[in-house]
Amino acid sequence: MPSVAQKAYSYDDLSSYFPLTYPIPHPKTHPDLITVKDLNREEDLLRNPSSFRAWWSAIQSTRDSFTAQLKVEKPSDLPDEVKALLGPLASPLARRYLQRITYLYESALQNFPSSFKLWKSYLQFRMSCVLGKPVIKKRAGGRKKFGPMKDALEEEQDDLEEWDECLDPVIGWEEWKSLIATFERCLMWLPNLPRIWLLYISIFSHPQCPALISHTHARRTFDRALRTLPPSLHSRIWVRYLLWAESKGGETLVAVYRRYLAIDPTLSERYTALILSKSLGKPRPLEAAKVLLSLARKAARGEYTSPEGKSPLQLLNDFVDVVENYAEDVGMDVEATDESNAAIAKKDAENEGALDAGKPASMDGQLIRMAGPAVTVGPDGKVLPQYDEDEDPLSERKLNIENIIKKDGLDMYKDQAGRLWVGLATYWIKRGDFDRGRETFEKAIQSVVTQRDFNQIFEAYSQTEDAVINEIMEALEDEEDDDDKAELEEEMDNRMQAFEQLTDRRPFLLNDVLIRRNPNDVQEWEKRVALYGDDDEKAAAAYTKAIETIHPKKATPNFHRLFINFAKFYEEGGASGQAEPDLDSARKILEKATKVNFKQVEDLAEVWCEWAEMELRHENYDEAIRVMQRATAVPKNTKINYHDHALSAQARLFKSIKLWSFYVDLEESIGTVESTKAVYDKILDLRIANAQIIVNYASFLEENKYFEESFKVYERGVELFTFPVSFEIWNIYLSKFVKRYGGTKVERARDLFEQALEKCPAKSCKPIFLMYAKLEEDYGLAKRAMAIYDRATQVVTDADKFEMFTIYIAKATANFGLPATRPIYERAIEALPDKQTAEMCLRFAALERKLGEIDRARAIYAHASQFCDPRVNQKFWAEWNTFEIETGSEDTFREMLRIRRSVQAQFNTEASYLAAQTIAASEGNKRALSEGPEDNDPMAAAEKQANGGVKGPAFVAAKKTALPKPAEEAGAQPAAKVANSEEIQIEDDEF
Amino acid sequence: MKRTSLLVCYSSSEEDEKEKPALSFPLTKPPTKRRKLPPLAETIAALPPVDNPALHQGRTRNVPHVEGQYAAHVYVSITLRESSPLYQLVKDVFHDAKKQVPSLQEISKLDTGRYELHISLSRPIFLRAHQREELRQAVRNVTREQAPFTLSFASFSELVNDEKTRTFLAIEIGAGHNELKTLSDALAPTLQAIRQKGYYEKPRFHASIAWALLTPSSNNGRDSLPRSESELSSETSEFPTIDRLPETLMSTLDEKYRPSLTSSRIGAFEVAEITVKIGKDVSTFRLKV
Repeated sequence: MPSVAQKAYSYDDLSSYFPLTYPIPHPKTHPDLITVKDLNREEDLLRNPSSFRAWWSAIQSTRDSFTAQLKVEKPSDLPDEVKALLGPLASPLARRYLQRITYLYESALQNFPSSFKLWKSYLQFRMSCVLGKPVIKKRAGGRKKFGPMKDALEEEQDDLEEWDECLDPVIGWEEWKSLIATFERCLMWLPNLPRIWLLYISIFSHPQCPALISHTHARRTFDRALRTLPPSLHSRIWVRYLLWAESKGGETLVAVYRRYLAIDPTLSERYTALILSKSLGKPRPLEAAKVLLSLARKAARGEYTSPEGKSPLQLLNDFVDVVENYAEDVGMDVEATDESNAAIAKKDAENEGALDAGKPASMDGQLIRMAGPAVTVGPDGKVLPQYDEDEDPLSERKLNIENIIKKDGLDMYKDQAGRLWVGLATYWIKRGDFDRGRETFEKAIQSVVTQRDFNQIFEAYSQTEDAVINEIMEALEDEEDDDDKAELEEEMDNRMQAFEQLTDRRPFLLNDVLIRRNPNDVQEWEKRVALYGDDDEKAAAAYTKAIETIHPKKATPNFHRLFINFAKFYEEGGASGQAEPDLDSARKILEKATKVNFKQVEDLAEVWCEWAEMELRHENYDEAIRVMQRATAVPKNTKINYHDHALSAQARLFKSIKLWSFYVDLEESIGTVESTKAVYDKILDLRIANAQIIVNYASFLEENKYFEESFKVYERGVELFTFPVSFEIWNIYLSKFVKRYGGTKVERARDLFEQALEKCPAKSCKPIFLMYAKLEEDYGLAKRAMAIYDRATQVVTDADKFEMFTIYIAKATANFGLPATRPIYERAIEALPDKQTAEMCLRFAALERKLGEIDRARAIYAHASQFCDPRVNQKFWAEWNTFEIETGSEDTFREMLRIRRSVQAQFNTEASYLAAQTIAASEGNKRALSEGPEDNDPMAAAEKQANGGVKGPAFVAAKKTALPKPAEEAGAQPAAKVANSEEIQIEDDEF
Repeated sequence: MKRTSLLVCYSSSEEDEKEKPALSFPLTKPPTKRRKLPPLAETIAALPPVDNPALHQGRTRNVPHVEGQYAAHVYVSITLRESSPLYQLVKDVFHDAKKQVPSLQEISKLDTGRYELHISLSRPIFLRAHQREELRQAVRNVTREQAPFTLSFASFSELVNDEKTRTFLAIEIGAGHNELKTLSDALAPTLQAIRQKGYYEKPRFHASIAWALLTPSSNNGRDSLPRSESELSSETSEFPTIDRLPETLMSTLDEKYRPSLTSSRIGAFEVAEITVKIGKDVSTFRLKV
């Protein structure tokens, strides 16, 4: 039908199809509602109208047939734009069926007017015909019930229904209206069911929803829903309501949100974001600022927890952001601010007075309030905060930003002040009040306490100054008028100068900040002094201020250096040394320092020492001594614990060894022997001397030829100290004594040595023994010397024994010849630890060989062999090998090999194997190892097994008993030989 | 030593105030003069008591006051009753001298009405608190070694203090000089140990009876006649000063009073104790009995 296709559809043509459902279609008015096929069904229904099932199945079958027919219907020949306008009702079939199904539903509802099932199905059908087919979204997981409103809003936003193409609200206005009317009818029957309400409400979020419905009618419907439904269901409505309000924006948004916030303030932050966003009508910064301020205050009091997890400070910073961005809209101007500040100050003063006067007489605040002005309380009986215009979003009064930032920000967040100060200054600058802004920056720099804040503020400050200068420069380029130009140039010069000054001041300001943070920071004060450089007035003032400010017990270390440096400053004539030196003032400073109760006594001692040194530098030797005499004045009660921090440093000073050492040095260099001795004696009397002092004292006396006295000092020293310390004193004492008296006072020397050795621990007595023996050799008897060596070998520790024996043997050889050393060797082999025994045995064997006693030498080798793992101690075995080659027979050689194998078996444990590996690796001698031991290992093990592990030890034990007694040697030797032959036979069998 | 502990000489703060304007105009000053450092704040060093010579007959302190420092003095004290002949003699001498030198001042009387002559055995000693007992002990040890002895006066003389600010009219000791020297020498090691000056190498033991201020510029080597009264008053408005005592004074005094001074009735005393004055504490130690 080309003519139809080309036909232009007018509005009237199209709108004339509607309304389809009003008045409600009936066979009387619409004869085509019922076809012949339907008669049976109609009759059934008429006969049995109260059967819900019959109705339901009739409706369902009709709807099914409708869908089936829609599918087979050939595409309509209407133009696309018309199709889009008509949406689901584009085809005549759809329109017809809408009427038919509506007729059926309505008839059913005549009989079951309060059936929720019927109504819901009916409404959904009608909606699908007008709004279009709902797009079904896939949703994972269940829905959280009663979550926070913020989450609910976000979820709902995602869950908003979407529809296919709908009936155009202009063409089909009548049909839309009819749908709404149906909903209203339904709600008359079923007002309490939230599902119906929600269904109804969902229409309002349809993008094409006609304005007549979606504005006032929607708002009223939301309100009706809230009024009708119980409060437990309100949140489901509110979610939609708020979303709807957000989509509308403007006054509606504000009104709806205000209503909601009255019952639930958690959305306040969202609200502030909404009213600031420019897309939703005119921004309302003042209201946003007030809401944020109130939130920040509540959060600071703990009455509000931000759902976004913001801290009170973050909220306040948000507030500051708003203030910065809308400076003009939010804050007062300078005059108003000043006025308001004055008023607040006055009020505070009054309040303070009132507080003092009206304090209740109770200590713990438990008294019942009996009288006084009325107080507003909340529903829970708590006192509500006073009404504050600053927090009331409805009030149009602007904010006193200065006061708010000070009271709510700077007073509470002292360590986060940077952002707040910068915000306040930016606020003034945005308002165009550059002077006030600069003033604020200066104030900020004067009051912040952390370096980070300072840097932040300084950065902002210099950026501002920079921007201002740039602006003036630009203005200067554009300016034509000469007068104005000159004015601008002058202004610019001033600005440039101020900027430079600011940059110059930076180190001082930073130093100020650090000192403010910790006024007891000695190092920062010193830095400040250094910053002043050659400006003596300022430096002296800084020193003075530091000394006045710093609390000695809280000061950082080296507080005393400050005094010393200050004194030096006067002594040397200022920092540059250009001024006249003022020794008197330096003395006074040190005098003051000596009265300061320093943390450490050492510090005080150093002050005194520095004072004395200063006097020395100026050649006032007497004064230096006098100073030290004052410093070391001993109080009557000397039983003071040097480490008792409860006492002042001054009270403990006399026990400072540092001070006394300095004093005694001074006396040694410029005093007399007598005075020096007196000082040394005082040190000893106070029992604070250390070994060094004793040694110094003694050598001082010795230098002045007071030998006996010097020895007396040593005596006192060894009495005062116990061994590890007194060893050094003994050592010096004894050597000095021997050096002085030599052989003239041998008896006394002996006595001293005996005394020294009496208490000397084994660890350190070796040098004393050596010295003692040397004395006896030089001035006494060789026999005594030998006795001393003998004693020494018994007393000294194992580590020293080998060396001691070596010396002993050497001395014995020198004095009495080689044979005399035999018993010494024997004793050495008994006494020494295993490893050194082997070494000693080698020497012993060499000696015996030298003396021609081959058998004895062999026995010694055999004895030593038990300590020498062939893998570790190859040197030993090599030597024995050479010995046998040179002096032995085949039998003895074989015997050696046998012993070697048995010893190796004995050492065949994992630990010794590992030790062997390590040694081999370190020596790089792998060849010998990998061949020899590995071949031998299993054999030796087998041998040990065969012998039951009894013979090896028995054999060695026999040797051991045989060796120390040379008389039994001859008997022991054949026994060894017997054992020998047996062993070899077993070996042969095995081979 | 009472007067030194009362007197105070510390005028540095006044000087500094005078200097201050100079600091602000350093260019106007000659470059050779170095600028002064700023004065210390009061919190560091409390201002010393201000010295006012006017309250002390024009005397100035030779040793500045130091907090915690005690001035000490060892001397032999001779008490004179008003009835004693020496008291009369000293009075007469003073009056005679006063006629010649009007600016002469009497060594002040004690409140008790007794008149004491002091024969010094030491210079002023400056002690710290802990050294006081040490000094007393030293003096006690010295007195144990010395038996009481007789002392007599020999002649009048003029003595000038070390700083040349005052001149004294004194009576020198005749007999007893050796004993005094022994005592004074015995004290020397103790003084040495605490680093104080010992007495003079060649001591002239004496008892002072009057003093006068010396003109600051006066040079000892210059032999000048005493100036007339008008000259003196023109130079220092309040306190007249002199260059030195007139030479004639000694000779006249010697002539007039020496016979009676040296007579054993008047000028001989038994010394039985030594006095130590530390700060305001006076203690006496008896010589070996």
